[in-house]
Amino acid sequence: MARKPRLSDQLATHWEAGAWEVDSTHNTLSTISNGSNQLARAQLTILYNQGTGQYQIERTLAPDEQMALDFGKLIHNRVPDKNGNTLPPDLTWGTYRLLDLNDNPTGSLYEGKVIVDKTYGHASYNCVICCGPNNPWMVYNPVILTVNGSLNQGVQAMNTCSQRLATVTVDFPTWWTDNTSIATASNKQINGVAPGTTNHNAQSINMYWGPKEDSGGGDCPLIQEEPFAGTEVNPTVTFSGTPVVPLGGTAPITATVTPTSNVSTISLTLTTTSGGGSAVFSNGKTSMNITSTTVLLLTGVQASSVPNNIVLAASNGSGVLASTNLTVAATGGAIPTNFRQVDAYDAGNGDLHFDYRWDSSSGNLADLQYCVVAEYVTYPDGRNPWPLPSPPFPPDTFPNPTNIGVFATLGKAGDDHQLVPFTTFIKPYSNSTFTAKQNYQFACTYYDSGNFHTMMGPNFIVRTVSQYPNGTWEFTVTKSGAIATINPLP
Amino acid sequence: MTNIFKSPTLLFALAFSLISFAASAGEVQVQDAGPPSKTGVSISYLFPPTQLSLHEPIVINFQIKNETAEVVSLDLGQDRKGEFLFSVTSPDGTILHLPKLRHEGLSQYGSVSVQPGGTFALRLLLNEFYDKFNMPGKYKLEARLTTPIVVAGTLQLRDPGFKGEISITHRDPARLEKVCAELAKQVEVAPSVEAAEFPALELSYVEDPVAVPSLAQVLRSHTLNYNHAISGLERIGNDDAVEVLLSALDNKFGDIAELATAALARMQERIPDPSLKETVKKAVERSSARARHEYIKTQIAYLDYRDPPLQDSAIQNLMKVEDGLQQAEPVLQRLANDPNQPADVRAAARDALQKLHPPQR
Repeated sequence: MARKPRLSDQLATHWEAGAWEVDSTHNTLSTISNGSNQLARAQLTILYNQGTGQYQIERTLAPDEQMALDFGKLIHNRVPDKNGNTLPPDLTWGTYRLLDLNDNPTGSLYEGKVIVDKTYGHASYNCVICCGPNNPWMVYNPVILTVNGSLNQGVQAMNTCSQRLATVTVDFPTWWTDNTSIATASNKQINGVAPGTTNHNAQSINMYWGPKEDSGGGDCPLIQEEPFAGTEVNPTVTFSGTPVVPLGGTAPITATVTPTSNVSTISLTLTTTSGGGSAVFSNGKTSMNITSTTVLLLTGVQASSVPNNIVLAASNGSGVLASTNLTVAATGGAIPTNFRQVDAYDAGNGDLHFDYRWDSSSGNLADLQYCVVAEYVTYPDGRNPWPLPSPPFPPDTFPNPTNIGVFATLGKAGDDHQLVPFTTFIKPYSNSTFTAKQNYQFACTYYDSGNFHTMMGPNFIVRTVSQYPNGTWEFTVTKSGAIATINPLP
Repeated sequence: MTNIFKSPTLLFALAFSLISFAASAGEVQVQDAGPPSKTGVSISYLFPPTQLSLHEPIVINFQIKNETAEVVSLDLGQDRKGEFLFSVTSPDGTILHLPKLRHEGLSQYGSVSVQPGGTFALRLLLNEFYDKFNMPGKYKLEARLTTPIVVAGTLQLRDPGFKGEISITHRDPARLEKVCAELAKQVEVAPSVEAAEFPALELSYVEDPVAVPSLAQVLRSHTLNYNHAISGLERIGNDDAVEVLLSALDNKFGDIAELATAALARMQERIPDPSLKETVKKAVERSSARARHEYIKTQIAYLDYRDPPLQDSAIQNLMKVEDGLQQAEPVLQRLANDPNQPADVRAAARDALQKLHPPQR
């Protein structure tokens, strides 16, 4: 009879079983059970004639469901297998193998069989060969994160039965790091806290890890594996929007370093990627180091022969942390530079509010009197005006594209992603979403024929109406990692 | 947008409300009229000096004078006009309570500080709030600022608002032409985008064919206020306005051509002349093709940015636009084979190329 295993100690995805016998004096009875809490697809392969013959039965087993097999009946009743094959009527012995096709990494099937001696009434119980994953390892090693960034780690192992790669992350319920001031672990999610390096670890449940081997009639040895991997947390760097550096003049650009406490060195370089053109930092060179947020002053030395051909990059030992493209050009006057977001918050009633600031290449905002700073927003298709999907959104339209400007001399502006003038969502509510693409730009009458030049973007403004499992509805608007909600919708 | 009057000549005031703030007692007194208190905060709404003819822009001068010894702060709302509430009673007796003027997107902050002894003045174009001053007669108006006026950071005063009346006489084309020409000239000679803003806005709300030449003049002047001229032409929408917008399609300054195309696209259906309608349709199609070409060019340029999200977004955009992948094929090939590109960018480029040349079965 099949034995119910203790907890999951004998659950496996793959069993190699021993011999079976069916003749005038013997029969083999087998029970295959699903001891896991999820569906298993059991595949039993009966091997005979030195493995040249195969007979396969497949069945989906619900948790705790059993499948009983009488080898004698399979042979003598000529029961066809899944491929229509039958076992030879004169077959008396062979071997078999059991496989869970769902490849449940924790194992799901357990099995027992009895060979009955019909002459003397002796029944011998046969335990099978157990096998499973062996020598687990972390999928990412090291995990490279930015401060406040996160990544879902995984654990993999080679299944010694199937010789296939298996993801066994669900076997590891316990995760931790060696230094929580650098990184933390929330289950398998590794989170960057501060620049530095540390290890992260995971511990498995108590289960069989090892090579394929005969259990010798006893239980498989149970252990808890503890794989680990390195964690490298880097500072984040973002550059403000300075798309154009005046030839022979200077332009500020802010390299914002997070966290403010960072002490690791960040290298900044200015590289011309194609054609001619060059710019230098205030030290007169094309490279410099920083550790914290710095307003860089770039000087345009040689005009770009093609737009955006100068790359300002920030890097450390791990690689490039951030980059932005620039053009050096004769501008004919001051131009807006250093466009940056300084705040973002939910202003209520579904209004996602942002605050932006910018400077003048001359250092004096009043010199921007012939310039504007504008947003340029396009909606998902070419319709103009663009109708919001209503219901559930309010019955309104947006000009497509939408181009709204403010005086560049202000040096600051707000941006409200709100639904006006119509703010009432229309029932019946349904799941609906649309995305607008936004660029912040500048134009000056004396530069490039008044054409607009992107300072920041594209940003994606995503508006969504969605339902919660409890039946209530929510509106969200997101951009640049910020969110505003109306929850629940009335 | 903001405009500050330094010495306005106010010949006619329909309403003048005064709030005096007595700092010692913390009391607020409201007077109907009279000279500003030397210790108070006075708010006034002032109307144009003469009667207006039909379709002339209607401007209200909002002014706040701080005669306290403290800083006075106020929030005028989005673009310095979003917190004003107006109601209008038209000559036929219809009363309309107008919504606040708010919009999606970028805007000027509305917060203002008035130093002790200082004055802040602001012009408001009433036509922006109410675009139906389309019959001669008397219109009753009410207005108020809905946000508190804060003295010394703590004491909050309320604008009691005003009630008044304006008379609009019959349409006077000669006078209107003169007003429009003057506004266009102000735009042309303005020493800054900001100085040109209000006259350009005023002109754009003259919903009368007489304004078309002046709006065309603003377009030609190549100031960065041309968006108002295009909006004005779209509002007028007659054949002359359409012709001006058609000619703007060849204008290379800023994004005049793009805005004109968008305006014409919206106007198409209401153009009565079949032949002009057909011309507009073809022009919009041509311009859209040009815009598509420019769009593709931009997206292809993004492919070479060392910014995987931007590169990926550009690849997705190129997949969606007609002929996008064909034009981008050489760059996509280069990306797909460049070991220095991030793996996801290379994969996205390969996917795009596979869409362009599906594998043969």
